[in-house]
Amino acid sequence: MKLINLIKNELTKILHKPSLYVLFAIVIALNIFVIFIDTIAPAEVIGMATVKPNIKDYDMKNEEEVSMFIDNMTDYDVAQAARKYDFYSAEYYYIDTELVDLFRCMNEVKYGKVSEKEANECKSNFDLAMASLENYDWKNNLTNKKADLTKRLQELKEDSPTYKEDKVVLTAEIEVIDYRLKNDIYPSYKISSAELDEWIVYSQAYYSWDKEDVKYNEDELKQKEEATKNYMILKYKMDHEMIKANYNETPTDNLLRCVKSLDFFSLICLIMVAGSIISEEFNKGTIKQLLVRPYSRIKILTSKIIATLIIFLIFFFLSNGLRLIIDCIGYNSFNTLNTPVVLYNYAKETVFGMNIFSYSLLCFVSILPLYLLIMLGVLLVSIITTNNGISSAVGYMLFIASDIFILFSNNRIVSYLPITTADLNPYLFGGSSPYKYATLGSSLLVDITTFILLIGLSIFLFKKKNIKNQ
Amino acid sequence: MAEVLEVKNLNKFFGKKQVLKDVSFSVSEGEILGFIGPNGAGKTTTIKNILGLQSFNSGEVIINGYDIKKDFSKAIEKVGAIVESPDLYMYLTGRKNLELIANLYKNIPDGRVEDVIELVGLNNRIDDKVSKYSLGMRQRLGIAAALIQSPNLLILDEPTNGLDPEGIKEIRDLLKKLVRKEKTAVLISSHNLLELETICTDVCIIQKGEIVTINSMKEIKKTSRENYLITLDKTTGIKKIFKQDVEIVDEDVIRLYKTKEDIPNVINTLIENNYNIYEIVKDKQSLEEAFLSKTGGNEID
Repeated sequence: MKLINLIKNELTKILHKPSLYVLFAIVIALNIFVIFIDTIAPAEVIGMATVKPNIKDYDMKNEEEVSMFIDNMTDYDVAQAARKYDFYSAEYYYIDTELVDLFRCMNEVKYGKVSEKEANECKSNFDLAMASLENYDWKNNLTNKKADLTKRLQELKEDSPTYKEDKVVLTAEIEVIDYRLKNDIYPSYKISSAELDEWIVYSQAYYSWDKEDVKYNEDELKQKEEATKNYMILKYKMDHEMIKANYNETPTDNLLRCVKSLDFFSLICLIMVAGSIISEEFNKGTIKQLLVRPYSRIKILTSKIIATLIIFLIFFFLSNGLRLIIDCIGYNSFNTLNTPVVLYNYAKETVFGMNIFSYSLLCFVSILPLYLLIMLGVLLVSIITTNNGISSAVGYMLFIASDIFILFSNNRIVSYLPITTADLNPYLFGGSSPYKYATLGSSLLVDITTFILLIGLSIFLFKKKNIKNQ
Repeated sequence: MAEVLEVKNLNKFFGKKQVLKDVSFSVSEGEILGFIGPNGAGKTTTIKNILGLQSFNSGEVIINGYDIKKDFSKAIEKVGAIVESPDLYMYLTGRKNLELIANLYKNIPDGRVEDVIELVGLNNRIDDKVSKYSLGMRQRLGIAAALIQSPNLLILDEPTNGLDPEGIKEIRDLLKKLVRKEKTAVLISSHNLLELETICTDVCIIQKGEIVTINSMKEIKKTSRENYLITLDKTTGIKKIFKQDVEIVDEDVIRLYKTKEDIPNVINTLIENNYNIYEIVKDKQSLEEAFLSKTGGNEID
């Protein structure tokens, strides 16, 4: 008697239930909804001051209150000025970052104590800035800035204690401006622009670790490794001009989020199927129809495990595939799929690009043990209790545990728990686990032992399970 | 006739309580064994042990020559069964349910599913979801499900439970048709012997986990022939007159196994022998009573 027939039957049974289709529809609908909010509805700026401060509410004789009023008024003025433009525009960013001081200065002229000379200077600067905003030329602005930075770089004195650091920062700032001008990326709140700005921070961090005669401890070495990784990845991206003009959230980012950690919706599907595939048959008595057939109980259990896995895989690939397509259409960005993912090889300390689909598959395979662990846990509890609710609850508890144990990453026991070792993603390309004591070897050992135990125990209990009298 | 099912010295404990004590019986080809006992006597437990749904502590179950414990797949291959109730997948159609079961056997001929649907008379409703079926229809679908692989042993646990008299009659007719057509050996349990009176060839009575008696239906029926209760002034010497046809029920009441036609002669004989007759009542001791007199009523232990 062939196992495949049992598996086919299990699949037929699952696919005839509406619950999976409902879940699938929810996933897709939610995805479309998010794109709608992201693209069609304008980004609403959180934290922007929208209420005009009332001067009557402040005691203008008290200096502290005056300065508080000026702060609030400035926030309000900046918000008013910036909101005329799109959140992601160059103007918005320019007002929100570079013109704040001018707005404050104007308010100080109005409400504070400022000398006439300062007031006149402030007014003329403000008028100039406002005029430039009318026809804002960000390239011109950056060119001027670059000239200023170059001048400062040349004027740096080698005997200054901060010479090295200042040089790194100024060079990085100039490099960012060059990259912006060449690739047409104006400073904005877009992700591409923010990513470029990180070059300054990453360069600073990278060179701060570059001290030859210092012995670092384990934690510091990890920080150094992280800094090197960030620096080298961004360097690779800039060298290969991979940060393209003005993009925001990309479908690639969404996809990677879903494959690198547990994909919540696929997990719901997995727990839903694993929780019911055994318990429901026991509760509704249909298990008897199955157990009086010429198949050993091991075969019956195996067919159920395989069917659960197949359904999970179909759900995972179908939902994420469809979400990727919807994202690409929604953000009009099929081209981002051609951009390789830039990765860091910890062992060789090199950076390389990898096709997005190959990398996604690799990430998914690496986290698959965690899905399997949750699935086997749910199945085992379901065999013991024949209660769908309890077994599903165990599944979600394992999911939460996989997330919160990171808070105890320095704990030796936590480092060897199956739930913390089952995600092998951190080990990719010579990386190390965030759990202090875990190594690839120890994790694999724990995982394999756990799987053997869970499967063995499930088979033992399933074989021994008596069908109770009603 | 070849024995299809042999149950030998089955013992089972639930904790310390022994629920089956040396249960032994067999079912041969073409035999319909009524497995009768009050609720809680151990019928369902025995059936579950036979089918491997529960494990027993000692004993042997041999089906078609294979030991159920050692050679489960081969032993169970030609067994069709309904245990407790025909639990089918409610969210699937009747046909889909049958197809799923057919998938699990090799060499099921084409059209077999159609044949069993025809046999149980569900043609008109087979493409409806089982959740829309009446209890009787579910029982029939359950029997169809048990028949798909053309079993040579059919085990039905209380198939008439919860059915109205018409439903019970349908099941009975179906089983008769089946045994005639497919020559299946049948083990059928019930707490109500009367329901099975017309179809069983043999009867096995179980009480408190022990087999009380195994007999052919003919034998059982003998003990339930027509009889009359006669109230007299005395019963002394009555055995000499009627020999084995009489049974003394009370000091002044006798039970006489005679037919209606014999009654005038009986009255004459009694008068000739100086007995005063006060009352003659016909009392047909039913199969049910014959069974109850053996099992001691419907008590559950």
